[in-house]
Amino acid sequence: MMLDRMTAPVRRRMAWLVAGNVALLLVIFSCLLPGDTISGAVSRLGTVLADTPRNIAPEMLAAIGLTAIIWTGAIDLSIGSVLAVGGAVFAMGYSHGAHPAICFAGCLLAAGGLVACNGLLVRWLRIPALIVTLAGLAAYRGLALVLVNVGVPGFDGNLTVPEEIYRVPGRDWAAWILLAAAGSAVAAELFFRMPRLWLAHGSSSAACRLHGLDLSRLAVSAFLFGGFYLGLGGVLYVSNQQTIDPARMALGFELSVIAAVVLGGTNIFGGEGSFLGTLLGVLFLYLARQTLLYALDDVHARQAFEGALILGVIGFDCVLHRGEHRMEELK
Amino acid sequence: MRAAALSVLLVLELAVFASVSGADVSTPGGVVDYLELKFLDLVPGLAPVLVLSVGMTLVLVTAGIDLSVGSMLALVAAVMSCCDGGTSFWFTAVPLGLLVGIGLGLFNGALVARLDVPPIVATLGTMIFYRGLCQVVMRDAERAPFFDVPGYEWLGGFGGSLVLLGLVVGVGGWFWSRSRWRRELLLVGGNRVAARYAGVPVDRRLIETYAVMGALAWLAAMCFTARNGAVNASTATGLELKVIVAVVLGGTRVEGGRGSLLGSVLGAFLVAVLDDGLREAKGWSDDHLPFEISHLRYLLLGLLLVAGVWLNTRVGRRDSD
Amino acid sequence: MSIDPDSRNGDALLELSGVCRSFGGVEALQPTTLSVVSGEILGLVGENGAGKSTLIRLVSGVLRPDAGEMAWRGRPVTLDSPRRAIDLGIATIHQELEYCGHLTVAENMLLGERWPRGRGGWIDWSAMQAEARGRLERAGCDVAVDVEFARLSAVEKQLVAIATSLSRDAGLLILDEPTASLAAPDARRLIDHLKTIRESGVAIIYVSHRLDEVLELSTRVAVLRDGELVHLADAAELDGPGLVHEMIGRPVQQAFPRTRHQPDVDHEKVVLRVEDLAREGMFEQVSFQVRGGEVVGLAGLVGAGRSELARAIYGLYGVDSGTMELLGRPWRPRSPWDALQAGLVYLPEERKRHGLVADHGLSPSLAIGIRDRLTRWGLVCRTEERRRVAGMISAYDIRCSGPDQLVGTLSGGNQQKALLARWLERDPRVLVLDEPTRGVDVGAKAEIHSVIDRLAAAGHGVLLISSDLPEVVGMSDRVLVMSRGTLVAELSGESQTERDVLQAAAGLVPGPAGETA
Repeated sequence: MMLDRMTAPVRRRMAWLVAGNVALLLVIFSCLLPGDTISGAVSRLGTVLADTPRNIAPEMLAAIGLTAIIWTGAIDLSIGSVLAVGGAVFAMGYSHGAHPAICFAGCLLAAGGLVACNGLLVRWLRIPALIVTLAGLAAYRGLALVLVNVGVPGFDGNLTVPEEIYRVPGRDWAAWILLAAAGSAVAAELFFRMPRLWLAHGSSSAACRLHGLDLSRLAVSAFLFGGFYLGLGGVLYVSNQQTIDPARMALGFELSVIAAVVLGGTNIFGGEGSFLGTLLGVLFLYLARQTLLYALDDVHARQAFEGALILGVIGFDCVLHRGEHRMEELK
Repeated sequence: MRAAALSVLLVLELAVFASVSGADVSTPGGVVDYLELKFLDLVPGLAPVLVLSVGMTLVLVTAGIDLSVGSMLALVAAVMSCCDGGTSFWFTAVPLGLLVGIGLGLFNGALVARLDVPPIVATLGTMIFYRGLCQVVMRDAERAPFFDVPGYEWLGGFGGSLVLLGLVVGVGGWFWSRSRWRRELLLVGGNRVAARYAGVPVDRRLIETYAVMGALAWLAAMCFTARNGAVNASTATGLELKVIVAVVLGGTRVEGGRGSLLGSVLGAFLVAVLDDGLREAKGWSDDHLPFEISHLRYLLLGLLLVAGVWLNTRVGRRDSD
Repeated sequence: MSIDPDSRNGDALLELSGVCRSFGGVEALQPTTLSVVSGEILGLVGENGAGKSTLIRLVSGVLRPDAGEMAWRGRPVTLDSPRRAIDLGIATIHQELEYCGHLTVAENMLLGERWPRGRGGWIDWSAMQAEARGRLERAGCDVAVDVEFARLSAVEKQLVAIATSLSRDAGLLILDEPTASLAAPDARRLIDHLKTIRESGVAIIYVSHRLDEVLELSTRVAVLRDGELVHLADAAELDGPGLVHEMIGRPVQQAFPRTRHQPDVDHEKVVLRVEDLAREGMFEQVSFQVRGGEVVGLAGLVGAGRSELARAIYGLYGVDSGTMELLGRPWRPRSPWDALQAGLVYLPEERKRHGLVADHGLSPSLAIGIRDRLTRWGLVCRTEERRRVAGMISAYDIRCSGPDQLVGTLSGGNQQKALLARWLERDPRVLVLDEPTRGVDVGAKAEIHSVIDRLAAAGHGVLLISSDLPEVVGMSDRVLVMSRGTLVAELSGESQTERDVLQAAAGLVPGPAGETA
């Protein structure tokens, strides 16, 4: 069936993640229990779950986009800064009284455009995606600051957007948008050809060339897809905030997204993975963060724990692939 | 070749910023005065970046990268700030800081060499993790015991910085250029498999490199706190990018196998002058530009990084023809 | 040297006339005229360096000929890229297959084509699998289509690659050493499969060292020697020894330097002893010994496990079982550095991948071999380094513009001499040399040979791994032959001839022969 097209390690990883997510839910539940009845705790858990789509949507959509990029053997470290630019464009539109739809459209186009730009630069300059997007990580943050200072009259560090209408996509529609977008991605990998070609590119670009596939088109299309999903995630992110602060928004975003993608079973070097696995991975990291919230009172320790968790996840994944590397290397 | 080009760029940069800041450089005396002022001003601020650039050169030579240097500096400074000021500081905080720095570096090295995590991902992770630990140590507070330590402030002044830099770049550089360790690192970065065939203990060398980076982060932390006197949870954010750009501009390649300390020093000067110039140009920019010129900094750094790497690949190709 | 007239009357598919190619002044393939007709299997044999791979690369579009013409189905063609050759119908199955391991067999087979779609525009996976299955069946292949490609066995990957080419209407299939890494039953499966394909009218060029297979499969056999097509005849008219004779037939016996005395078996100490060494998947039950002053040749075909054995001795790989002794003491290396300290060096077979860094200078590349002897307190003594490097350059006659020349710009022969110099400067007691003269010009080759002879004369032990038959036979005191991971023969004295070595290596001698020493 469809699961046959996923490799065995990916399937195993998804099974672990399902178990892990259930386990985390139980842990959260047990943290909610003390000082409450069972039905009370259940309803509180329900609230947590109900809040999840709107909180998880930006990261989940960005992760889906990044998954496609990583499949082709590339990477994008600039996605946090790209979101900042999206936020800046949104702020520019808002401060000039543009219709909400225009503001959000601007955000989406800006984010999508920058990621597409990354893809084109990698292809054109023949520099590793690592470097181009590392530069983007810095440059786009600066661009966001410049845009917001130039385009928003009287900008003083952040912009408050109190009107309820701007919350609509991020709060009210988030679950539906997420369902539609994530559903489309999973449907694409189940029913369409392009995701398989992205995986082929990451697996062996030489084989793709021999079969007559256009490598540039494959590589850039993955970035276009990633840009669109990141843009969509950006719209939901911006819509979920009361204030837009381009200097600080989405700092460190890229790392938790990369960790979620790798956790979901996608090989960081490309060629292997699944959108469904990515979704499970994002959910796991989200629930882990929530668990930390309930289990740990110390606000200051949160980032440290999250960093440790991410390192643990990535380190564990790399150790699994270690054996094959070493032998191949010596040949 | 690269050194000459960088020197020319440096001169151009100085000229541009001199005119923007309105200094009087029409007479030779004016130029000398301007340069002297700049030099005295720059060197102490430049010290942390330069020290870190030395370490980053080593890491890049092994075909790795270390994004966590800013967080390492902050964490080491934070740990040191927990100790009391006074003379005992030299015997408690300073050695403790060194141990912490080396420990953080060893952790990076273990991730890269033992667990085979790609350096970019590993150090991106430790960048966040160490920053988180910094928050745990600092807890929203800002601590400033550094100026209470006798003799410490000297490190942050012109004389102290010069001595330190002379030791690190001059003496350290001399040892580095003659060391066997350097030869082995060049082989590790140039062709890792050939290094294994040549009997180089690749894993150990990688761990050592990142550990040295950690020790240099300690040194940079001392330079930094000696000048600023205080540390908080967001100290040195964004420093790593400046360091990487400096090293890349200096001609060290991201793919490894080649590195130039002299180039990194010049690159660090370029970046420092750029930084300083942007700060000085604030007056000009407030009049002529609608945005703060410091925001350009990140844009320019990103562009410089891409340009630097691109140039390095072009030059590399020519050599191998 | 006879070239039989091409008397077959089938449709000529591929015609080469006067096609030749040189590399850096060395003529790898002399002007060659050859045609392949549909429905035949043309066996292509010859030693390493005889020009087989050059011919293959010319026909598959990887290289352009310096002169001559090629025609496909009667029309002149220029094969300027592999893609062009594939489009015409010339498919090459290389030893190192390129495939997308994590995709299914069906997806790999149909990679560049349109995939069958259902009504809504989505991919009809079962139709796709049926299509793939159909193609495999038509090619006579029986492999599951819905499994991950990387999980197929080596022979199954080859069969699928062949079926993929056939389904793209390949008229000519070129198989380059297809059974090199296959065990006997898998090789049998492939050979039987090829026989069935022949009936469909497809032509096959079968390049192999396994002469028994070549004779079994081929309609005609072409023999290349030193870049020249020296024999072309029906397979029925040939036999193993005859083929070997044509492959080797040297008018003049090449002289190899032999200044040393035959080692006195009783008095010279054993410097390297290997007993029942085994590592799963690479080699098993390997036992031999090397004495001081002796050159022991280790011959065999690609995939026989010689390099893997050498790496295990050097400490790069661990072994599963067996024991080793170096200079009389138990030898259990944990890393190559142990070997270097103990007096054992290994010259790897791929100098570019395993030995040198192209954009490093000559001096550091040479000095790295003796880095522990040049260092005091961690610092390299520059004057000593300069002296030793200059000594190495002159002792081994490395032609360069100076010690700072980039290694990548040296000629192949000088690169090899540099690598040799790097390790020889350590004055090791035991040397393992893996293809020391591969890709090296005649002059440098002779110099390297005299170096090896001098080493043996001085009492060092040398294990010489080589696929160059004259070299391994002429330089060695004894020749060990490996095939498919085991030692199958030890030849010396009268039986140490190129013919005997080739026969043993090519599997014409069934089973391991007893030790003759």
